[in-house]
Amino acid sequence: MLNPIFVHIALLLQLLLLALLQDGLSWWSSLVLLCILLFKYATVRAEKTVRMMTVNMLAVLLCLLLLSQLWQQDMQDSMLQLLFFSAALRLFSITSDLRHAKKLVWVQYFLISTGFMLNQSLWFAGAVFLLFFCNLYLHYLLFAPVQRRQFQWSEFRLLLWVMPLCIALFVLFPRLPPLWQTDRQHQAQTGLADELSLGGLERLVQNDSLAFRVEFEKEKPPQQELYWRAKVFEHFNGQDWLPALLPASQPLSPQQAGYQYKLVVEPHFQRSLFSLGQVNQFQGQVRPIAAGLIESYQQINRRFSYGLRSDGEAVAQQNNEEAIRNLILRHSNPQASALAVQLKQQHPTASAYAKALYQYFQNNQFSYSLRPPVLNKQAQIDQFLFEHRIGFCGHYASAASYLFRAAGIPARVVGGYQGGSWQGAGDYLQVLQKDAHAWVEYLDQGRWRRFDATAIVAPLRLTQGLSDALSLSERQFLDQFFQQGMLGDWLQQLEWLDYYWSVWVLSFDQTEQRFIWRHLKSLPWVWIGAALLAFLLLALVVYLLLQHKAENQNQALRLLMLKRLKPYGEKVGHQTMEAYLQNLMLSHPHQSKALHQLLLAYQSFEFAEQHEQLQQCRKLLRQLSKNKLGSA
Amino acid sequence: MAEIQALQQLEQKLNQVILGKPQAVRLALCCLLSEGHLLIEDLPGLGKTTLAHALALSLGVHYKRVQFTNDMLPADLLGQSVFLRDTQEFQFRNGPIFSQILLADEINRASPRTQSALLEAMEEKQVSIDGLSYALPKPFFVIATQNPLFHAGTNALPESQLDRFLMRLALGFPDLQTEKLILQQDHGQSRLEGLAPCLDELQLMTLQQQVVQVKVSDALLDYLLALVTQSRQQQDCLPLSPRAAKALLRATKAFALLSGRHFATAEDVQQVFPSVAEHRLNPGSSRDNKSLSLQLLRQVPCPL
Repeated sequence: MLNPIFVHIALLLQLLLLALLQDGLSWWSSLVLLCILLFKYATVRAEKTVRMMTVNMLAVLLCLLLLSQLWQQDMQDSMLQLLFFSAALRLFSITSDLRHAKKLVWVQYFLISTGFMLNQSLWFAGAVFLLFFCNLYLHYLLFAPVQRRQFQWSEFRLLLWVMPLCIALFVLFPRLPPLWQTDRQHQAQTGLADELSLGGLERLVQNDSLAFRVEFEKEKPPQQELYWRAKVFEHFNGQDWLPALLPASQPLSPQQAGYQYKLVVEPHFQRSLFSLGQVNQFQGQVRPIAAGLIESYQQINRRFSYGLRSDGEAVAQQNNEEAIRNLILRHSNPQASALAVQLKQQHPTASAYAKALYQYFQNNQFSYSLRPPVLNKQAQIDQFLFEHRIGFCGHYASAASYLFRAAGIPARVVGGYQGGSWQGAGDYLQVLQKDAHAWVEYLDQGRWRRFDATAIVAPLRLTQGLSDALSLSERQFLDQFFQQGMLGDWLQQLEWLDYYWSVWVLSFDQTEQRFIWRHLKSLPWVWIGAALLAFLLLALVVYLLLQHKAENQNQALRLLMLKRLKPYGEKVGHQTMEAYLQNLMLSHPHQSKALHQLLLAYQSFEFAEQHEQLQQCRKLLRQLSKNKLGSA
Repeated sequence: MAEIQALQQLEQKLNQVILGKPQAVRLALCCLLSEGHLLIEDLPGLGKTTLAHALALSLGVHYKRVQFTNDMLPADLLGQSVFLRDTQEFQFRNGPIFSQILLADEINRASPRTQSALLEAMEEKQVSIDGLSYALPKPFFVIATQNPLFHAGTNALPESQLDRFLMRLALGFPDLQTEKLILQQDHGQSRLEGLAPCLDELQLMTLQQQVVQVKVSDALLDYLLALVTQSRQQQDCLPLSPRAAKALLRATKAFALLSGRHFATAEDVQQVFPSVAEHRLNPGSSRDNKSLSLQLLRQVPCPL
């Protein structure tokens, strides 16, 4: 008998799931699902049934529809929709027979778990677990007596008992790499674009979503050193900077000095990752590429974590070609070129030239703005440097890079993030999209030195973040986008929780696990403790088993008797064993001697508590069962 | 062990007197061994009195028989104080109740007043007259017979008093062959003549001691309790009291001993259950009706 509230709870569960899995569902499938669920609710209320023929037709129709949409949407989303359709339609086939209900519960377990493919944040996980328990309750209803709707305390206790086991499995069970990768190509990329125009970061700066979070192992670098390199732009076409076509991975020089840090990156559907200066060690599914950058093997489509060690030095030059590439100037900005030549004559070395450029930006009333005037197509650098003198970091980086190249010093634009805000009492650094920044690297004595004109024009931008660097009206302009401080402290607390959720739970992978094992193995007391614990557990199990055996020997013998004597005839429920055996003696006269012996042995064992008779009973039972087989 | 052999001999002898009713004989002996009182209920002429007589005779104890009538007074049963002219004082004259086995024939013919005097004595094992208590001899065993209630001029025993009897037995008609044998062996003299005592008083007391020591396993006790509990969940019968449960246990033990065992089995419980329980479950029923107790037995699964 199926509990009548089963269908109601299943309906509620699927409605919640529909809300939760919105990201993976197309608008029409959401609509169809909603209609199906509402229709099911209506039929349940009206106590009507729907003919299976109708449901099957609907299923075929939906499959065809999905198939026709397959080319336009992600494979993974299509599969998710298929699963959801099947779960929703399964609701119609639930009868008092438990078979369909059982299938539904299992499909729902899968459906709920797919939520993790869409989102991995703590809140989402909480919702998923809630639905999971809801489904567990449905599962419980399948087997509980009809009158018992509530979880009993003993069942809760069972759940609690299982918890340590779950945690132990999570920590200790070998973690397998994913068997397949899901590729969500149709997602728009977020974060830094592949090209940088003069005012190109404006879009990002108005976005306060999370880019990544960093936790430093020991030492934290000062705020003005936090230049998170993500992309290097080497080709300038007069308006935009295009990324370098970077060769494959470069070996690193292992050094033990520097900052060690761990990053948790939000999905941005690109492969580029973030690092500080010259990286000399890395950990996780990442590899170093040219220009001192780090990238992952796959597109980042879920929260991803990796560890790095940077020595805090400027990035080293890799080859001569790199220097030559970064001298190319295809489009002329005559005024800027003239300025470069003039400054270069006064300051022949690269470092002196950089200082002179800083001086130039400081002394010529440049200002920092999010809404710079629009530039014409021709000679944009000249327009910026000599007409408007108002710009954003993209402008400054672009112009400075041009000035370096015009003076014969290799230079390139670097895109990434600057700074970030310390969260949770300085435990970790949170870098938002609005921290996006662009700066210049010029080659000086084999190293790419950083040149950030913005630091001169708007020094507060570096030490205190973007909004402090702007004028009041500009700040108001930004505040339209970030309603800062509105939700107060607890929002930050939640952020903090979410961070540790991703650090401790989501990013727990093979390397972490291996690390834990290595760490544990090196501690002798862990071994002693584990051995002791194992011994105690074993002793407990043995003790319980023995006790259980003593208690249940009688029960076991009775069951054995019923099983072995079944071929001779079944025992009626209220019949005593004696009456049963007497009956068998009458119906099987040739076995009556053995049966009589069995009766005597059983009675002595069961009622006179002569435990030594157990063996005799078993022997007789074996004999009897063999005889029956032989005669059959 | 000698006692048990004597007991089995006794049973054998009784079966020679009461032909074709081995189960009733065994249950009657069982009742005796468990120190309970026995009520035999059946139509006239089925051998109630013979069974009672045979039991009393073969036990070699002091017994008396009282034929109950509707004008009988309690004093006729218990005894009374008589004024002795010689010594100028009252002296208590024992009534027939002062015996080890009392045959109370046709107990339902007596007035309720006399019935309750008897039943009180049965429970307390003593008699109180004129403020003085007189202990009854040991062992004290009442075998009452009663005619079915639909016979005229009877006073039915109330439920509470029925409960004082450990067992109610019905003999029922003998089968054809047995009846033929009875007719063939009818030589004009009572079968009871020549029935010699097989057990003496001491042996009986020893046996009663042994009954107490019969082993009852935990699982068996659970089964017994399951039966009792089941009766309390039924709609159509009176629930079995803890006293009934105790009676059931004692009868079970005695039945085991009668089978020559020092441990009780589930079969023992099932054998004695109808006789012990039926008159408690359904006091209004009469004679051979065991339907309620058998129904209970069928309802409770027996794993043993």
